[in-house]
Amino acid sequence: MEYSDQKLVQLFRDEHRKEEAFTLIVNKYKEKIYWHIRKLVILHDDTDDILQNVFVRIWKGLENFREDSQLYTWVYRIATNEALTFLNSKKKRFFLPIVDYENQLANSLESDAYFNGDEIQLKLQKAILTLPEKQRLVFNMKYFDEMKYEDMSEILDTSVGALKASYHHATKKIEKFFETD
Amino acid sequence: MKKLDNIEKTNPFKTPEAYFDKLSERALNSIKNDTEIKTIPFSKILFRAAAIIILVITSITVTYYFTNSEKEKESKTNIAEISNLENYLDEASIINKIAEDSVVANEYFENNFNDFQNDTTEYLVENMDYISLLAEL
Repeated sequence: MEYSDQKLVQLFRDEHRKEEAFTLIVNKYKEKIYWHIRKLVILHDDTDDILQNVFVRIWKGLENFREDSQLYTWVYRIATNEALTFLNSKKKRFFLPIVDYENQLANSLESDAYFNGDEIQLKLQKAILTLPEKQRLVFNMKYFDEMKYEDMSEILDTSVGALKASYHHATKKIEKFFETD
Repeated sequence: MKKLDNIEKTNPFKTPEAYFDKLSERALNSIKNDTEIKTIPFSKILFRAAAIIILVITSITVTYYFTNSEKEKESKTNIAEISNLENYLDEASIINKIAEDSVVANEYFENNFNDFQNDTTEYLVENMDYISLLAEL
């Protein structure tokens, strides 16, 4: 039996069923959140670290979750923020400009044991890695996850119009990458 | 230009085997670890309290030391000022000063004494008891 998000939040607030509710939430969202983060940070180990942080944040924040938004978009927002924070800290730690870190990631894909895409998939990932972070995020959510613009708008706190424009630009850049590379 | 629609939409990434199976258990462990890390042991609290007390005592001592040395400096300056004053006052200037003060006092006394004398005469004239005076004579 699958509980609704509202029911899960209610269960979590019951001290005796807190862990049970949390396990149900994790099971409901773990894969979606994992892939959302993974497409952004590319490496499995980094994704795993971020995912653990996301779960800790959910545990701490769910008590005060005001239900102004859906649990689904709230969880996604936490995951997105954690992933972006991680990327920024990684760039600062190595004193690398944005392009260099993304180049490094693109190169590591070829030897990554957890990447099994063909040549075109590899090229597509490299093309995606040339995009600015936010554009990459929008592209992944729309292209791979086929998420609605309205949901994306709530998660990323950006207008639907801006998201459509961002996706359009991202698509053009990727197609141009395929043409020139 | 290669269109994105022509590329097969598949997930090229994979995870270690059975990665998702133990994820919720690991998540709960992370939360417990996080809570344990955040719980500060009693010895640490004691150490922090001792450090704060030492800091307060040190700052009080330092403040007391500096405040006292300021006061000492101030009193020494006052003594110095007084001794300087003594040097500047010679005997002649003191005598002049006393003489000036006496002149002022005398003038005051003279003016006021005349008024007093007039008042007394006026009173005696008005209230003279002639019968008693004649009897005594």
